[in-house]
Amino acid sequence: MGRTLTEKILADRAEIEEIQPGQFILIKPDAILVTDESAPDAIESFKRIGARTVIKPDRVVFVHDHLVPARDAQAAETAALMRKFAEEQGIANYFEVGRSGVGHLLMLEEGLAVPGDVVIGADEHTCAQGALGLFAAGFGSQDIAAAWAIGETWMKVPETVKVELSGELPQWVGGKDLALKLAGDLGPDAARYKAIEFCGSAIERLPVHHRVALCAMAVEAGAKNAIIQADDVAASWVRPRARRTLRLFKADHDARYEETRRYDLGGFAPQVALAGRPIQVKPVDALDKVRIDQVVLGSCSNGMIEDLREAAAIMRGNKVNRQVRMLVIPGTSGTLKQAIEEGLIQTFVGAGALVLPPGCGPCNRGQGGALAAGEVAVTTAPFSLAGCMGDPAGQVYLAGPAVAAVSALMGFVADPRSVSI
Amino acid sequence: MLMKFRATAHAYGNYIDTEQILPARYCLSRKPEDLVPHLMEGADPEFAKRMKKGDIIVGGHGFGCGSPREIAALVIKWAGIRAVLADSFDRFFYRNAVNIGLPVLEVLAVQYGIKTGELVEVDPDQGLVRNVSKMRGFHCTPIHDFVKTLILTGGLEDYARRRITGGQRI
Ligand code: SF4
Repeated sequence: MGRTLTEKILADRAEIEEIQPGQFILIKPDAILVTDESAPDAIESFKRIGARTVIKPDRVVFVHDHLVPARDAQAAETAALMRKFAEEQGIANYFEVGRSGVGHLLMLEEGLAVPGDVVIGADEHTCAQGALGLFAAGFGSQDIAAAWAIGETWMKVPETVKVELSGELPQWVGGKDLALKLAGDLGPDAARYKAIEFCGSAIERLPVHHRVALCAMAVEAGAKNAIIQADDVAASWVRPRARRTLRLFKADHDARYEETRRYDLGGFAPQVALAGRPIQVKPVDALDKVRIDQVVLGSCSNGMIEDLREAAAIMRGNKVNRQVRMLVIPGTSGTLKQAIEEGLIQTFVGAGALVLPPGCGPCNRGQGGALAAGEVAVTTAPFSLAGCMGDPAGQVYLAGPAVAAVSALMGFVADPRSVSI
Repeated sequence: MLMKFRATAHAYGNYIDTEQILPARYCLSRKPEDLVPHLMEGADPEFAKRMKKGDIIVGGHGFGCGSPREIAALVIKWAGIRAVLADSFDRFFYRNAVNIGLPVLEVLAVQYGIKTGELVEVDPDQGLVRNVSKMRGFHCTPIHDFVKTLILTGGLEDYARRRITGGQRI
């Protein structure tokens, strides 16, 4: 019986002959990502286990992304705890403030997550990394600590939902718009605890940053992981940076999928969603005029250089609307450096936007950029929990970089197709 | 071998999220005595007063969804709840429960067959759930050996400790 992409990678890494959904397996992860937000709990759990040394410290990656730079003594203590633990355990992949960035993007950009890997991350949106044909999913602090201590973690093999995308991607429409539409259609149950495998003619031409945005939102629909087969586009993107050999897997043509959903991208509109669960998604032109106070461009889903380029193209020579605060967050320090070299930062600052340090920024009640009661924001982050940017009464609309940029100029949630830029 | 047991149920509907299980405002403390009195407060303020050790919680789809805080499953175990049965669980909640040895069973349509206060017989090994009060039965996937190991050893941390010290692999 044929295997889906996720089943193939899990069977390969668990070194088992037989694999089927619902099966419990023990698996040795190729990489373990821990952020400054999740490190303390994992280290605490590691101590409770009574373990002293991390097995294969070269697989462990520490990043500073949620609390960058430490905003108070408590955050500074967390960072210090991480530094000490990394030194003691010889964790070389330690990305200090100034050389760090959103963990999921850093893993891809630094070649620490390569096609065919099993990556476990102490963060819900680890699924974003599945864009490069690898298994990546979020795990709890005890799972991370146990993986440090015994080099293994347990998993339940998921069912797979296949999503086939065909047709041409219209202008101003990207991976985030597809992800929003899918999250809305799937609702809270259709993909719960399952793998989502994207394929189809539209995927073959899709650049990597759209693939990342597409996979990053899978967890919002309750999915375990999202994955796109590593084809030439992905392989050529990752080869120059890969730290391990690539293992390119392909789903079997007779693989069994629990469900298949098809989308034709022709005529597809940019989407927006009001944060909250379940997520309410609609085409941007179906939204009546919503005045906004803040726009956030960045995050694990849309913080890559191509996302910044798309927004800068809209904003060049224009000004951010008088009542709007625009926050631009390059995904990693490498992206910030490149954005400076390409003059994108000049464009953003010239337009009146504020550039924040690489990392998660205000996403998930994090660092700076909170909303006051009643304020409305547009964000390109994938986090859809109500109140995810400060006050629970604040309204947050999720959108792609094009909608975010044009909304910053207009002062309301705007459709890039109907605005002459 | 997990023993068959009988317990009184406290039944809820779909999407009981971690905010309803344990509101975030109480999460600053990590002490059981501060948290157990607020268990299920978001969905059922009377729960803590009504509940007895050894009872079970029954839910619908997506039990434990919302922000994936591990304390939600911990407080259920601290309160002495014997098991949680639901149509389906949020993935993070399911993992957190398994990791602390709290039995969680996915039982199709269980929310429609069991009301609060009714007596339920649960046989995790055979995957049988019976509403004794109403003579109604349900099937579910028998609890997996590895999960049983975690329940019997007390959770993933204990299991990892044994692996390091004892070195036996199951
Ligand atoms: S950007 Fe937001 S969703 Fe992505 S990892 Fe950071 S906090 Fe999580």
